[in-house]
Amino acid sequence: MTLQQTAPPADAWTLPSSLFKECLVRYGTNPLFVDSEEWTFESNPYRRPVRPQVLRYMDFETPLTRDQILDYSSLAANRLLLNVYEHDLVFLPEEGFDGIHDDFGRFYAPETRALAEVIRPVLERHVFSFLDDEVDVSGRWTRAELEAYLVALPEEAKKADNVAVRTIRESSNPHHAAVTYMIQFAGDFLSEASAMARNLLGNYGPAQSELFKIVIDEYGYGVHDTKHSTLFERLLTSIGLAPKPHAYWQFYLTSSLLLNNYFHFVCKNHDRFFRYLGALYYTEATLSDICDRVGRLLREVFGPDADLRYFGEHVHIDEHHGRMALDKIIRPVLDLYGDAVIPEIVRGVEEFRLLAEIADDDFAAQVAWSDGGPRYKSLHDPVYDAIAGGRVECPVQRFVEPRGELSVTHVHDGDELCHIVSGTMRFVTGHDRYELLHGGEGTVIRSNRLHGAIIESEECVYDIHSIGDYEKCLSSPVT
Amino acid sequence: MTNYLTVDGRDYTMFAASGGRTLVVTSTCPHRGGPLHLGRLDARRARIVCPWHELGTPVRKLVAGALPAVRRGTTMTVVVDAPEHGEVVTLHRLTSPAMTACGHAARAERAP
Repeated sequence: MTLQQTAPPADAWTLPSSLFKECLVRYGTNPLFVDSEEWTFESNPYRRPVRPQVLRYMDFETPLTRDQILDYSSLAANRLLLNVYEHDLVFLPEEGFDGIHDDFGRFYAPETRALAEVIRPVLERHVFSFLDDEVDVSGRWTRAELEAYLVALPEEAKKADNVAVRTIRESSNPHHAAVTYMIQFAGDFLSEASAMARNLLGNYGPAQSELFKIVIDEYGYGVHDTKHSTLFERLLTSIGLAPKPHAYWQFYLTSSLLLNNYFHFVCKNHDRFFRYLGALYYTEATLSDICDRVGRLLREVFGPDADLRYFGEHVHIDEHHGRMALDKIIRPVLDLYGDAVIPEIVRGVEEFRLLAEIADDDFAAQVAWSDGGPRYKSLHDPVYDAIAGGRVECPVQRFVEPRGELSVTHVHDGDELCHIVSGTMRFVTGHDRYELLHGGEGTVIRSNRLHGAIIESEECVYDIHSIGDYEKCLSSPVT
Repeated sequence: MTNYLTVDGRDYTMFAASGGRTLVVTSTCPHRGGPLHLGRLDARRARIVCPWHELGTPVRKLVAGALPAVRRGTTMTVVVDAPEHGEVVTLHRLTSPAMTACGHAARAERAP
């Protein structure tokens, strides 16, 4: 008797929604990711709150649009994604390992990694799909056009206003703004070049070896003192910050997480390799000038004791890295693979530029939010009067919390009003930045602005009114 | 918002192609140089009809000759081939509904 076997039909498989949701909740409720009682994590690189109690209400299966990219869903998804990506990276603390040995096991456990891989594509689609709509490469690109376009980018960047530098200079508290800015970099720079290193594996010709040279520079030629992440650690220490990975996890803006995650996205998903080359070139070709401007600003703000060798090193080495990325990586890749890869390279440039613009605007808005603490506190009274007087109707939630209850930082999609019924709340608008709110007081909470809170009295009763747009509450009768 | 580009005497306009894409295509009719940006769409024959002599240019030919460009949000970067001292001008011009794209700022990069 002869058996004939035919291969089963090849169907595209999609992850069932119910399975995704189950894996999402299982992953998010890992003890490492639940709410914390501290603002910072200076001795445990595995501790990264994602507010799992909210996950079951989130829709991560619908892609976000550009307008939604700073909403809470994006913050939540990006926090999850950074954890997902970093299971591939080795983190070991320099001290206190005995006390967190179990957490080390949990972070790298096979079950944790398996759940991470199941949810990763859905989360990536949720936060990165908007790039497909926002960036479009058209027309017939040949090598000549690509060369002209790439060569023009650094010169154009030098002429552009640096939003972050201007924001810090114009802040009412430049020191705090500059600290906030360094915190945004800490999520990436303390493990610098880890995403890039994903592209060192495999076999793809001379460009692979050239990329390795750039990574060797980033890693300080194997000399720990010159490793770029070490230089950044020294900078953080010199300005009074903890030089530990993700110590300031709660103060990463959504856009900072998005930018960091983008490099993991295009480096882990190798079908986006050519996009990575575009993003790599743009970063390396423009970073020298950016680091020069930022370095000079930081000297003004932090004074002579700040250790700014990180920025000095990049001013020098990225002149070379920009040239190497073009001469030694992109041009040879074009020789091998032809014009067909050009649109992907261009996409990578423009996707990164867009994310950097979003990050600049987010940072500027967050600094304005932090600086505006007293003003938003003062806006409580007229907005609350509009609600109490019936001129504004909106959903309200009441919370009763004990002393020490910490609300992990988060954002809201619309404006909210926090009204303290009784007790005292420390309302946090940034690292070491807060307003104290007592009974009868409160604050407007701006949409998409990162904030948290901790209760400072035995008990605090407070209401959160979802007002949508606080300015509308200040005008004539609104419902 | 700019929607028109002149490169060393050659005219180009933004064209709303299918799928929501915006291309930068010639606005010069190949017949006698008429203003294609003021042409009308002959949907049945998939061509833009020049208002001067009613001759049609196939849309696929316009698309095939589109300038290399990339849109990032509402900003479009176009790579153009112009002599070193040739003039490159971006401006806003009235165009026909056949050409209408959502307004994108245009920025031209000069090819070496």
